[in-house]
Amino acid sequence: MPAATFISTLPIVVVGLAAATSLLAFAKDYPLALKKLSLLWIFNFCTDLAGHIIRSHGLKNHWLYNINFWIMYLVVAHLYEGQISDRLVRKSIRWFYILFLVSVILETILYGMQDLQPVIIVGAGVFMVFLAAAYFRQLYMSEDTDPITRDPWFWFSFGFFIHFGGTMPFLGMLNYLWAHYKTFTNFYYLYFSNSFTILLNLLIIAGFLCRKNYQKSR
Amino acid sequence: MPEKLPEVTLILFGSTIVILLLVGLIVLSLFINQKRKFRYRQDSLAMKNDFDQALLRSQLEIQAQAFESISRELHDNVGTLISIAMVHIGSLGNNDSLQEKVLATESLLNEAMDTLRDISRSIHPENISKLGWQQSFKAELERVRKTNLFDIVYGEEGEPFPVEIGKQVIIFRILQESLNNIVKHSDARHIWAAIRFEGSKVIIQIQDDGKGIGQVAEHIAGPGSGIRNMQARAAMLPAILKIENRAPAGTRLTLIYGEETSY
Repeated sequence: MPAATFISTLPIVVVGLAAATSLLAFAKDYPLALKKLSLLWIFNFCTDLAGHIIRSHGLKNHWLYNINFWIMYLVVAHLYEGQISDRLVRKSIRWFYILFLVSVILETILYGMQDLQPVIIVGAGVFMVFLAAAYFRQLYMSEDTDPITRDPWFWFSFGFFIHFGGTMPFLGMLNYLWAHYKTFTNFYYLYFSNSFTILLNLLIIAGFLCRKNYQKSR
Repeated sequence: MPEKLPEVTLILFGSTIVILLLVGLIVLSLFINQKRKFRYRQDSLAMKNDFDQALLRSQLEIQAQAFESISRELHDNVGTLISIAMVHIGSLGNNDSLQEKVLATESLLNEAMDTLRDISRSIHPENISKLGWQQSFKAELERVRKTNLFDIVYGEEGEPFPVEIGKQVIIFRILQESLNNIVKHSDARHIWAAIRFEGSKVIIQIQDDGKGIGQVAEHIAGPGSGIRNMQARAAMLPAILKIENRAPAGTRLTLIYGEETSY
């Protein structure tokens, strides 16, 4: 198998592994939030797999990833709403739902779905980074002395922070880069963007495995 | 890469590196903060423990002073009154009809005097220190036996080892409290007491055949109660204290003190 093929396939394998690990949430009676995240990750894996299959047929798959991003951002924001106790942050999440949906409708009407929607990706990506940072702040201010490595949301936030923070600049410029610097775009996507995806999924796996005993009431 | 890197790709790499550095710094500060919080909690717990120990020591000192005072009062005041009463009784004269009553009263007063002396000795801390905890405990068992309400079986084995005077008083107080609880609450007929020395460890067991600790524990385990006092004293030594409810076969107290139970 050529190196480039291997490297482009590796993220799918890791996403699949993360999706399989997330099924522990149902097997071991994890809290509801983790079950929801598990469903999101299974959906993520399915769309990623479908995207690869579509691309292998020489067809454009950006429309599928647009849908993937819409659902990903909305669900992650909803999950953080349940984890973050700060009143202002929760209020900002409710505003995000409205603004995000309006942006999706506007951008779809104005620019269609065949190309990636950079405004949504960058805007929502920034908001995801903000939510991860807000959670870290909550951990910092908390008086709880339990090890943070036993908090699954620490791992998830770490992953989201790196992934969205690292891929947002690239995805925001993807349409432009793809039009003008195809070779560089391929190179960056293959080695850098995929690395962030792999890192995110490894941290998601860590989040699902870091703690196995949850109280039934959670 | 055959193409020359345009400015936009430098911005791309630059922004990515900045974000990654930011993430790294945030996560590092989280770990450092957590370590600090953990250390703070440990220090707080240690301070609280020290405070609790100091408070307990003061309470026990106040108690010891109170016992000393009561012991002195019993000996000086009540003992003197009984002695004077005995003298008055003795001087009543040789009237035959009164002689029997005088002898009976004298006997009762003698018994009262003996009991008073026993009580006074058992609560005076200096006596306990002088006799040692083992002899004081035996004296306490003898005092309980004299009430004729209990059959007492006592046994000891092994070689005694020296114990600090302060700790001897605490050990004795625990055993004394246990005997008081048996006398007041158990409705027992038999008491078995055993002391076993094993090297630098001593195991003391007191068992009765009463109604067991059960519901009574709710009443006597309230704040300031005997069992709580015993547990607090055992923690001070430190020693292991176990109180087992063996209803309907009574209660068993086990006190283990020695090098292994020390911190």
